[in-house]
Amino acid sequence: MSLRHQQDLLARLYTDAEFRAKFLSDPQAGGREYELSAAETDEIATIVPEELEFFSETLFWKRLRETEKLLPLTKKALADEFSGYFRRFSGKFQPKTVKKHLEDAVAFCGYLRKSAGPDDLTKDLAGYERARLVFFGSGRRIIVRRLRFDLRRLPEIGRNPFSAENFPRRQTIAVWLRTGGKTRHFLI
Amino acid sequence: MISQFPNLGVGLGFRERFRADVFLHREKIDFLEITADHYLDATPAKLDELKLLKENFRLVPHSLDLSLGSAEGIDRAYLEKLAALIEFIEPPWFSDHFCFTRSGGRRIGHLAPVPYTREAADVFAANIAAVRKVIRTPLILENITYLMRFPSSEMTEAAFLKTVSDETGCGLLLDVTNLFINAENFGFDWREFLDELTLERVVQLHFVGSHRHGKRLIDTHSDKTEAGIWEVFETVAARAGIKAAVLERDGNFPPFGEILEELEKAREMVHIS
Ligand SMILES: [Fe+2]
Repeated sequence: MSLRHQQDLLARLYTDAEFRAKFLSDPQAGGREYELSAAETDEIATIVPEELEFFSETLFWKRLRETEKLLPLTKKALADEFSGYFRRFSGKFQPKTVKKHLEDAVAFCGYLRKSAGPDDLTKDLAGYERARLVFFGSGRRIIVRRLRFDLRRLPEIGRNPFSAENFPRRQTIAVWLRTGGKTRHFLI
Repeated sequence: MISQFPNLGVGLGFRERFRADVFLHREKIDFLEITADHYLDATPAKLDELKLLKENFRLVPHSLDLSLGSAEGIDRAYLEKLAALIEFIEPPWFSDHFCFTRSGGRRIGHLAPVPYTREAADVFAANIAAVRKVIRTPLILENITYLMRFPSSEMTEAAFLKTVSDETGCGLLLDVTNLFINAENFGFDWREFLDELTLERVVQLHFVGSHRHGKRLIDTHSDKTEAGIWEVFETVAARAGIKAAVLERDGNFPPFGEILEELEKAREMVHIS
């Protein structure tokens, strides 16, 4: 038994929902891809599917929760649809560094902006939050982002229920800046 | 070796949420366990936090991603960052888990179990040797929860932990909550587990409540320690010469008074050796 091949396959099963579904319908094909013998594949296939699913779901929800925390505006804009988009995104993207949640959040914003589903305001909010995360996560001195909606009322709206009427269409520029050890943010 | 480890008492797993409270109640918290990964590639603000914590508390780092069970070996970049952190903190020991967290270029993002086989024990021994070449601070290893067991396992979990610990000389971090959860979910007797493990290598304990999810218990670290887990805690504390215990609360945070009560209750049960 090669533990290494087994772990490669398990890591894929845990993190890629599409591959998992494929494997559960035809384990031997999945096993061959990872150079496992029929008996070795059988062993993994006997790990009860719902347990595998439960384990993977635990991981998915953990990633989702952490990403929601980093993207509160996008979460408000997408509401219940957030998790559906994140599920489609998460099987295809694998964070590579220790800042895995930050990577997830930044890449997820990019994914939303390219997706057909979300409306323009949601895409703008995702772009705005992405720029903020990149600024605070990278130590860059300045980040400028063009927006199609006027987000200047964001601070006062705060925790209030999210409503598109608060953000009329208007060319806006968001700036994050580091000067003299302090960070500053403007919406113009 | 383990008998020379210092007694740290009863500490708390540090979370950002506790930042103000730990300073307010410093005299009631013997030490802090920090999640090492939160301070690798850290922002200046996080490093300031670490300095402040170090000035005020004894710190023990707990890492999540060494992936000591990975057959492909240790990630050098991660190991070196961890080594730098440990050098800065100067702790008496640090800990990671009996698990693998990455393989084939994928980070699982969670502690995944390995089959309890000779091959896996050898993988742990080789990876631990690689860690020791870079980090001289003693490493102790923690038991995890799992939702599946491998039919190819050649020994029990307790026998596997004991084998790796005996062969590498690593101490154990016994998470009594994880043990309680696994025993409930898989219907084994935690007392028999303790008998088989033998407790002389247990250095530290973790404890927190378990969480019921359908027919299973899971380790969300979001509940108050319940009676069944206190029973495991008390049994281990009475039988093993442990050096430290840590409450690991990660969510559904109660008023800090409740956290302090749990620390105090643990302190009454341990006779730190
Ligand atoms: Fe633990």
